[in-house]
Amino acid sequence: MVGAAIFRELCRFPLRVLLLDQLHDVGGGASRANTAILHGGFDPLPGTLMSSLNVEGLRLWSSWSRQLDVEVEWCGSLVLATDDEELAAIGDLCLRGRKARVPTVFLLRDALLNREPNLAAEVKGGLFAPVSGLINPFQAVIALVGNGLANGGELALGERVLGLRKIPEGIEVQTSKRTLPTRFLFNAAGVEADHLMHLAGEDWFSITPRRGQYHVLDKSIGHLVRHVLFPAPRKLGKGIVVTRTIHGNLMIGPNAEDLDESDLLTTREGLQAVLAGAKKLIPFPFERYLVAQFSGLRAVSSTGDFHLGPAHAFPGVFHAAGIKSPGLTAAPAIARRLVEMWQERMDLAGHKEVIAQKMDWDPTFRFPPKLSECSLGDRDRLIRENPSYGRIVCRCEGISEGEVREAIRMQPGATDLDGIKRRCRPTTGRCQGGFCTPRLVEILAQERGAPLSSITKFGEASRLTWRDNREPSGCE
Amino acid sequence: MRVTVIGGGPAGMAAALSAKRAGAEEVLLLERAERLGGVLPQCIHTGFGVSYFKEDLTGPEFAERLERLVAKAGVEVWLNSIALQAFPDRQLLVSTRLGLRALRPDVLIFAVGARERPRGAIAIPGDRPAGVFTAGTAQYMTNIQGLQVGREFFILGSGDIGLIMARRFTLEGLIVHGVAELMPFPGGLSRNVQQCLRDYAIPLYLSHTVTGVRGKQRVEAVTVAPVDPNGYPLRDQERTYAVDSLILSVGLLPEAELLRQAGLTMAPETGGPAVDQYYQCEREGIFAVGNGVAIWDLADNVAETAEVAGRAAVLCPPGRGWARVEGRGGIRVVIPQRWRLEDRDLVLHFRAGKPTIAPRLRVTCKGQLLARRGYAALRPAEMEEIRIPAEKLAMVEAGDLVVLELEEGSGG
Ligand SMILES: Cc1cc2nc3c(=O)[nH]c(=O)nc-3n(C[C@H](O)[C@H](O)[C@H](O)COP(=O)(O)OP(=O)(O)OC[C@H]3O[C@@H](n4cnc5c(N)ncnc54)[C@H](O)[C@@H]3O)c2cc1C
Ligand SMILES: Cc1cc2nc3c(=O)[nH]c(=O)nc-3n(C[C@H](O)[C@H](O)[C@H](O)COP(=O)(O)OP(=O)(O)OC[C@H]3O[C@@H](n4cnc5c(N)ncnc54)[C@H](O)[C@@H]3O)c2cc1C
Repeated sequence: MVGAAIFRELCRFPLRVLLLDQLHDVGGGASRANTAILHGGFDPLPGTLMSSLNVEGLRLWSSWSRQLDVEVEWCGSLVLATDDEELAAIGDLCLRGRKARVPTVFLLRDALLNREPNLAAEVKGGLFAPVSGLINPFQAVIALVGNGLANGGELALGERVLGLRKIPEGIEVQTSKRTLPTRFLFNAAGVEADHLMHLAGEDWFSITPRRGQYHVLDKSIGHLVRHVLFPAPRKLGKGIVVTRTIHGNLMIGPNAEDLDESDLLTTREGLQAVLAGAKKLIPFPFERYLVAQFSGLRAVSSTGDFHLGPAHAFPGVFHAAGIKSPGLTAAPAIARRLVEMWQERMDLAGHKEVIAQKMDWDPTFRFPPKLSECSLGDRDRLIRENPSYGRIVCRCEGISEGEVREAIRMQPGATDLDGIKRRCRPTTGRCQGGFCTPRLVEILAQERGAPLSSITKFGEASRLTWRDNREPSGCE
Repeated sequence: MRVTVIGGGPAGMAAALSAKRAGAEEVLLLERAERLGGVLPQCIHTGFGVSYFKEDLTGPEFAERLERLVAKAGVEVWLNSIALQAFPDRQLLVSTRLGLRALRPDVLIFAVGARERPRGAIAIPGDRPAGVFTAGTAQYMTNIQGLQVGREFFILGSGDIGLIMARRFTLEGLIVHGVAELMPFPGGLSRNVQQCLRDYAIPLYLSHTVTGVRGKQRVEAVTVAPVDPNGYPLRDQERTYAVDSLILSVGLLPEAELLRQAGLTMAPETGGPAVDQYYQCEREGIFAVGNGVAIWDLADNVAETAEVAGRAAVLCPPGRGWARVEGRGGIRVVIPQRWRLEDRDLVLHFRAGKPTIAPRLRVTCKGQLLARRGYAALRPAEMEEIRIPAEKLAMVEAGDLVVLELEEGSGG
């Protein structure tokens, strides 16, 4: 998300901008496995970058989401307390919020019940933050990248940065595929941002991956909550949240486990802790409505705050490191801040021509049509123009063949099953791809002119099938 | 009269056929796939039709026969047409390749089939690589698409589809390392346990489960452990199988979404709508048949019961009210859940909660015995039936409760 936001912002200017990622799609890191909340900004300690960028990012998302056609929902959030100690903790949050100029209201149980009728009996009071909500994080990354591409940016996937070297013209980036000269390099490598800092000669900063596991639950119980529900704050992160996703599933998580090495496993114990945590806020037999489980890695920095700025000893390199939560919310502000730093440098160096916005810069991005959001009339018209919009391939989410084809054809387009999922949602429903997977494999193979047996889930080694018996030699 | 049937599997075809034969002027059959048949075209093994066609057929043959009958009878068929929304007044919104269509038939029959429980529904922990398939999906990819989904398999769940696929993979020259079943008894039919596992020396581990999946991109291994009587895995006895695929056969659930939209309440034991003996739901003119009501053992059962519904949809016999039917004490599922009072025998279909040897089943109402029958054995995998004679039912009144239960002391 951070790299994508920087990419969009840099593509405003008359530059050659390349977005590089080691994965086979954009948005495949932490930005695809998180709680997807637009945080209100009352939680981070006032005075930190996390605090100011959260508040600024939230404000930017309200306009960027419209410019970029990204789904957001301003449902508000509640932080809930079950005992006196937690009530005190909430009082502190309220004060923090005031310092950061985030409007919050303290509510007693009765008032809370008006908003959330299913709360646990132990909940005594809570803090209501109206200006906060949900975002579709997959879409957000794709829209940011798509906007950058439409404004002349370039994208290289499946290419890992291995080393950096100073050269007279700037920087030589050694990747897994080639050597790339560049004037500037923005490091937005998520949990691996400290590694890139090492490559740039800085080792004062380190990142600990902190895993969080989640359960996604059936849409039929999405109505159990109206707001994002947090427990009162604890030492490790924000505690186990009960929320809806932007598409109406209920979601609970994350727990918090510090890891020595990045590992995206889910565990029986972790998932059980998530259920137990969620039941403290909403006592409900969630285990009967399970749809999916996943985990994400927070990039927890050794300084406790985001680190933004130029490299200490490597001209041309800028870092955005330790971007844990509220990183999604803050991403637009992080990008703005870094680009401003770069502009200052360019200004000082007398390069005024490159810091003036391009005349033809287009701030907008539009996704291909989403049938579920169309009126019946529009939907009918779409089908008449293109019959593949009439053929539903994902029965759970009601996604048509036409939408899947567009997800593959768009820029940046999907090249594998997870890419299709992140763009238009098939396989995310209650059958988890049981019905649509064979159909998606066919469509993807057709669109790419590739054999059925070459189709992958996410990454080169993630082939779904070993061979196509119709092709005598298979595709080994 | 206009009858619309949603779903072109054996249930939908049989219901459409019998409605047409019973005299409905217009019968429309909607199928979202590109062909009729439901799951039958992918079931290339035999074992279909023994009672319905009096012949042992493969799934595709069974489907073809029904399809021919449907065409001959003059049923209108729309393929690639999915019912998107259904309303309590029987309005339907259908998406076709020609555009959206709104329909409002006099009778609506749901024959929407079932879906498989995926990995997420049972929260198998671990990595999330490619190579985890539900058995039906693997079956479709293998038999319809001609793809080889893996080379070395472990199967979780001993449902029929998993058993059939264990044999299928073996016949394809692939390796099935074993089948784990959480319960102390198999989930599938005895005949499939014998013909698909034992005959091929594939081990079946009862009271075992898969405790984890490993592999960053494609499955590399699964861990399997025995479970204690509460179903908790005994991690110290965990074993690792180096496989590239995990196949899940952990249950089917009726596709209930559309029925819920139509305002029907679901029966918790089946996951499908509550129906009477004609498969009419709680709303007049709305019927549900096949695996969309409850999971039946055989396509034959599905077709036979769907015929009852198709006929009743047209010749709708007047009722004198309804009594409720409930299973207790060892009886897990009963179909129908409501009895429309009439002067005819009633056949109840039921499933036992656990395997029982030599049980006696009794059906009572208001303390009076309606029927009693002994069985050599009852198995959860096998749907059984009991017939209650009309004369016994004469005492049942609207609002009464008919109870099905195993007699205490019977069974072992
Ligand atoms: C469990 C969890 C819950 C969260 N909840 C929220 C929330 O509710 N609200 C919120 O605002 N924030 C939340 N966050 C934080 C938010 O998700 C992150 O801050 C944000 O996604 C970080 O984006 P990023 O672009 O920095 O990192 P990433 O999305 O991880 O992107 C980094 C990218 O860099 C690539 N990369 C790394 N090294 C190299 C290399 N050497 N060469 C090439 N490419 C490389 C990676 O492949 C990856 O694609 C949460 C985070 C987690 C983990
Ligand atoms: C692997 C396997 C092995 C089996 N082995 C045997 C066996 O040996 N012998 C035997 O007798 N039986 C066997 N069966 C069982 C038999 O196949 C099923 O009982 C039977 O197919 C159920 O019929 P159905 O019509 O209810 O559902 P399905 O066959 O699932 O048909 C439902 C149809 O409805 C359509 N549909 C659903 N929703 C909509 C909508 N909204 N709009 C339009 N169309 C819709 C679906 O596309 C589908 O075609 C087996 C089943 C499987 C999966």
